[in-house]
Amino acid sequence: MNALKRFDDILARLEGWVIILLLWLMVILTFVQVALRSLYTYGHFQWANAMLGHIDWSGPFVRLLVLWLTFLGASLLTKEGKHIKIDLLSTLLPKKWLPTRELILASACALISAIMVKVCIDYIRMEMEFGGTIFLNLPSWISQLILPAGFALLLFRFLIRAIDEGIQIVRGITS
Amino acid sequence: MILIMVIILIILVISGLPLFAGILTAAMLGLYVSGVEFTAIPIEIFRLANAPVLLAIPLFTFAGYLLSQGGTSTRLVRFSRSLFGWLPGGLGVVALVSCAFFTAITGATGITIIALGGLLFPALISEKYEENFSLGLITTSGSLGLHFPPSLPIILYGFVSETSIEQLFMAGLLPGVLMVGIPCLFSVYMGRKWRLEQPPFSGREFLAALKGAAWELPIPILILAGIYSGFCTATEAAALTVTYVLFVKTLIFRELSLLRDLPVIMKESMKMVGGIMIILGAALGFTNYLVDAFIPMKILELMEGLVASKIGFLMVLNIFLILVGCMMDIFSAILVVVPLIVPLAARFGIDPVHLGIVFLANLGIGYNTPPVGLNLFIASSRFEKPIMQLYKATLPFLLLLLFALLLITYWPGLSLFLPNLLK
Repeated sequence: MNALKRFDDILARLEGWVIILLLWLMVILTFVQVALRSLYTYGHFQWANAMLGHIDWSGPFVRLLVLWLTFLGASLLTKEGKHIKIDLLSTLLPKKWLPTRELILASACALISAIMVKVCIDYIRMEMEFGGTIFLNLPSWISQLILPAGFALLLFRFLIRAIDEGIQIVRGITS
Repeated sequence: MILIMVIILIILVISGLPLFAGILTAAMLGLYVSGVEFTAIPIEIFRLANAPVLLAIPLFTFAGYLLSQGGTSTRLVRFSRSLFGWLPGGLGVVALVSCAFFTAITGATGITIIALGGLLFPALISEKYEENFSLGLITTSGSLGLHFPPSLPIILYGFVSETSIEQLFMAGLLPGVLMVGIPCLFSVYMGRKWRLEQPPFSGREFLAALKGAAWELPIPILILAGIYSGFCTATEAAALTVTYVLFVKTLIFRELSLLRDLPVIMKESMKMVGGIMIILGAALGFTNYLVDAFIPMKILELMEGLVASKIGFLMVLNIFLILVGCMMDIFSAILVVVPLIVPLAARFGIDPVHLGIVFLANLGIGYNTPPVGLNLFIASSRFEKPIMQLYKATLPFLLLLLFALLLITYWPGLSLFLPNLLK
């Protein structure tokens, strides 16, 4: 379990770095697009238009980053257990039941994430056969890899939570 | 079998299952019943990567988190104090206006009470405002300003309902002013009644405060002007806002360090984005099933049997949304409920732009509604007051906001006047 937790922390740090890198890319690329477009539209600089032509991949690329940031952010959120939820029971339930509830909820989420990983892999198999190409002539399924990868991250995080709560319950019973 | 699964799912969701997981499960159950492949869900989630509008969400959230750090809140409060402090009940007005403004520029991400409450609440108490009045005022002010650009709930509503975000921003202005203005009048009235101290207006202080806040004050106006002059789209405005805020915060005020503070803020803001957008992804999958299964049509048939008129529909909508608002946060409420409501409203001849404004006003009020309104809990833990006291303290403000809601709902012209003017 300790090894798992250490891996979890290293993974979280890695995710953090990737988030920072991707968000910088998103900010810079979108700004450059707007700047070049207004230089061309209002200043009539031909070179700005030519530059825009060179970075025509950046539009779809930045939109793809939205999906990456979504899953990476959600994964970090899962580590902290701070997902948006409706919680009517916290105040009503006796305190000693809370770990059991957490165990059930985390296991349910892990199960759902696992199904989603499987479904997303099916989806990518389909795209590999029938999908077209996207920017820079990449096959479209490459851009969709984030879906199974993202749900796999969530699956890992929910599993750790479930194991952690399980251990606490067992300890609570034996002590 | 399916019925048992649905009941288990509902129990799990109200006991705190993350909403995105609940919605994904609902989508899977629905697809299973209609015999459609589950791959329909990832296809819908992937739509998140194909909508240029959605780019505005991470960008504005990041800008909002940047603005919530450092001295922006202090500068804004100082400015509005120099502007409104001399009125009777002036500090109450100051609190309401600064909170609404702060909510707007931080994109209504729910950090207003935490960021400004600690500053304003002690100030109100030290100027002899009643404790309950001050508590109620600060708590409700956390949900004002949802209508002003660049509010994220408006962008989300526009995306989900396929309504023009530019028009929504314009339509929100007057109703937004109304929702801030009515509690302000109440504060002036109470200030008169309690004969609170009124510091005189000082031109010198006003100019100094204006100079201090001059970099941050124009942000919403610049965004609106940029969009309406046709200079940029909402998404491009988001890109420009982030760049501008980064420039102001790191180079002009030197409050945030590029290497020490920015990485933390980036991660925090993207956690928020992840939390909202993963629900959006799941909701897209679920909505797809709903539409395929003609669920909105079925609800429509049901409603038409029960409600005959536009007014009747709006009344049911108001009550329904207040119930939703006190159970769900505004983002998930928009993602889950809007796809169901929009076709209904269209059938009753309600303009989707007006509907959006009503929606936001309603959900903002839901935040303050007992027993589970989110603002009440945030304020209760922030100011260390029992939740029952907050129920009582917010009640008069809640009634005032309900009055504003009635005006906004049954007077469509208030919302539609400005966008129609610009068409």
